Amino acid sequence: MKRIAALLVLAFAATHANAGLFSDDDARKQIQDLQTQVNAQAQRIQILEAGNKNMLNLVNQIQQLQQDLATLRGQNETLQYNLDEATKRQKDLYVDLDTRVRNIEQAKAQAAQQQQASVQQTLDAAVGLAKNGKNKEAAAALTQFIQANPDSDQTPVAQYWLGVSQTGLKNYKAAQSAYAAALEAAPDSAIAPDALYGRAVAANASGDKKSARAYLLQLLEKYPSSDKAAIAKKALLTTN
Amino acid sequence: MKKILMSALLTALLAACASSPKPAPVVATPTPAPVTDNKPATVDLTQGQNLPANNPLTDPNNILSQRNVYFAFDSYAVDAKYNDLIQAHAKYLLEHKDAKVFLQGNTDNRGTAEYNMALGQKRADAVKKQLQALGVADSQIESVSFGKEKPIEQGDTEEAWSRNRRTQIVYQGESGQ
Amino acid sequence: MLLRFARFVVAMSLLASAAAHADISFDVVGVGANQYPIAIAPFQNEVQQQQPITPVVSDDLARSGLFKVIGAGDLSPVPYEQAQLNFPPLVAKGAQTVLIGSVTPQGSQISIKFHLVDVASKQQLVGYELIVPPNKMRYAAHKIADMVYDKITGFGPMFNSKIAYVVKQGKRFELQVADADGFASQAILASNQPIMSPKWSPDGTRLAYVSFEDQKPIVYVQDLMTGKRWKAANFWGSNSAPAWSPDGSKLAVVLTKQGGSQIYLVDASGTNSNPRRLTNTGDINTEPSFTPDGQIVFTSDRGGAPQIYRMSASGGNAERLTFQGSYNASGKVSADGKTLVFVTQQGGGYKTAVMDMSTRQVQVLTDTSRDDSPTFAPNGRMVLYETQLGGKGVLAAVSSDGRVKARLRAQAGDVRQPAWGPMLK
Repeated sequence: MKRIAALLVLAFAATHANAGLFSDDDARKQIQDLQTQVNAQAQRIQILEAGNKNMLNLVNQIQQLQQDLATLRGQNETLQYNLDEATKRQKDLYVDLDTRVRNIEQAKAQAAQQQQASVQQTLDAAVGLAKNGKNKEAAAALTQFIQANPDSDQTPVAQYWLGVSQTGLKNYKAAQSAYAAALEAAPDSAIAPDALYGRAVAANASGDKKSARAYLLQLLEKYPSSDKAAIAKKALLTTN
Repeated sequence: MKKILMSALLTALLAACASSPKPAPVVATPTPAPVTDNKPATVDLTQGQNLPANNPLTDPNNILSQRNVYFAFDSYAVDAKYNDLIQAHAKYLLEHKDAKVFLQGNTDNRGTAEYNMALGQKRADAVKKQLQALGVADSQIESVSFGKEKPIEQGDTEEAWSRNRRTQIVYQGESGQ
Repeated sequence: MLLRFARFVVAMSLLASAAAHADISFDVVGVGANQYPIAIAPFQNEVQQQQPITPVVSDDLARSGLFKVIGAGDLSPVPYEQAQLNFPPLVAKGAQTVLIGSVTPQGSQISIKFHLVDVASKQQLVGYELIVPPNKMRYAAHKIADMVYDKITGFGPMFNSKIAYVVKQGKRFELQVADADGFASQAILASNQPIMSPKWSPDGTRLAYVSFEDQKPIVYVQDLMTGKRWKAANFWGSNSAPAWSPDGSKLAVVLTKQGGSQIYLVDASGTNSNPRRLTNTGDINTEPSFTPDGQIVFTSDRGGAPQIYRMSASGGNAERLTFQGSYNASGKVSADGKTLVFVTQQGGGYKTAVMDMSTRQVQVLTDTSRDDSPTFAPNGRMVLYETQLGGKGVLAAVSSDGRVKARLRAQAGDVRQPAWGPMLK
């Protein structure tokens, strides 16, 4: 208690001692300065507190962004998984489809082969008749074959042999049209020079030497390296 | 902070003097200083229930007595309406470096127990990140999870679920849940 | 058939209630696709023991859902040895096999002899003698059930094992250990704060668990025989979800000391101060569980919602395993590595499901809606899990193919978080 009293006395002494040093104006100025300082500080506090609010919002925003990122990662994982699955399924599906298509194609090729084989058989039989001089039967069989298979790659062969048979039957006009059809359908095939030669033979037999000669010249010109070209050359030399 | 408080007191005194007809310039000496020095009265939080009657942490009129941050369903972000509460606790912790809080995260009772531990942690960490952003030292904040193990509300109602989705702020020395 | 089972189980639980009050008993609902009809004759002199053998064996086999147990106590005379077997009445009962035996005191021990005989061929399938102390009769019975079960189904043993679970009654939490059939339960820890996540060490001698006794989750390991316990993970923040490495030396645990929930590896001895962090991606990585080949499956929110992933035990890249639904958690892989059991959210409920690890085909096993903590039997044929019945936590079991379901009898308090331990030696 005594000590406090002593302190108070001291304080009073100090303030009174100071009193003489300041004028009223000085005090006012000091007060004003302090007032400005306080205002400035209050403003700073406001700014700081606003900053704090922003900070809290930022923390929440980061949290939200992390959540969004995770959701995107999850979607990515799911998409990747679905893609992998789809790729696998597609591969499986392709293999399955490929096997099925191959089976179908094989079956189809087999059927076509079988059909072709039967076409060939029919033709061989007809050609056989022609080769054996059974011209009438051969002509009938070959005509039927041509009607049944108008687009077969064997049709020109049939037409050629029809020409041969008709020549044998002395139906030179029919023979000429058969040979012509064969030539038109397969001008580059192995039977083309034979057909041209046939035309010459048929023309010669029908007495049209001029046409026969023209066919032979045509044969020499178009198919100079064929077997029949050599025969044509000889024939031309003799008829000359 | 202390400085600001001090000068505020000073100006208040000075302003009072200025308005008086006979200004006594004597007050220019910093006599109020001892008052602010006494201000951070040591609140001994380690004493548990024996907290002083005027403890700001338990004073129902003080925002510091509010301790629960509730979360929406499937949410782990602190709603902006808790900004004042968070700032008040941050300020207290900044001013009381020896104080420490446990942030106890909780979930509703749906989902597996172990996963809910992690979800409760997420809610505790959300509050922790906010305190950290305001400058509170890591050593003053320990965030832990109670998962769905200690619900304050039993039952399978929306009401119970929303009451349990929360982070509770417990100061060291307090009994907690 | 079902009715007969039910009656049988009732009789069983009456018998058992005399022995232990807090024990758990199962009701079997649903049966396997193929049931093996087995006749079981009471063993000679077994009723003179405090715990007869054949009721326990019958209960085990019936609970598996794969056996149709036929009482053979009405045979006259009741056969105890192979020579006493009269086959026509057994054929008439529809039995494919018959189990007979005898119980004989041998000094302070008890000798249990039994024979499993094929009815059609009259050949003995199993013949064995067990010598046990009188207080190990249940152990002997489970062992016999396992030998019969394995011989006939080829699925490997599962009955002679222990389960651990948490019981909450009012404010009291107990960590209990019991036989796999729920009998012979015993509390190994009691606390006024929550206890969580009991996990068996691979050798069955220790339990890891989480206790809140210090106001925060801390991982403990407790030796079952000595009762000695220590903190295996006690770091800043939460410590939870322990899982044993296959060799029993390490624990994968979930720590939050560096923010978020991340999986770390610590020594089970609790001596390490510097745990090794295994996960970095995502806020939540938890519910670790080792696969038999030493990898770790775990739940992560890295994809925005809980899904199950797999990574190596040293961490690094993780492969996502679950893609159906927006909540898949609590994954565990069976001992053969072929099946993942987990909890999936479906129609607002949480159900137990299995996934074939090679085809990724998912099958939901249960029709309950609050499932948690599914755990495989040692042979992977059954799954024990927590669910809710009448607002209370109960344990339930389901076969891995979903056909057989066994629900636990109502018990006091909530029973939670079961863990099925390894086979007893």
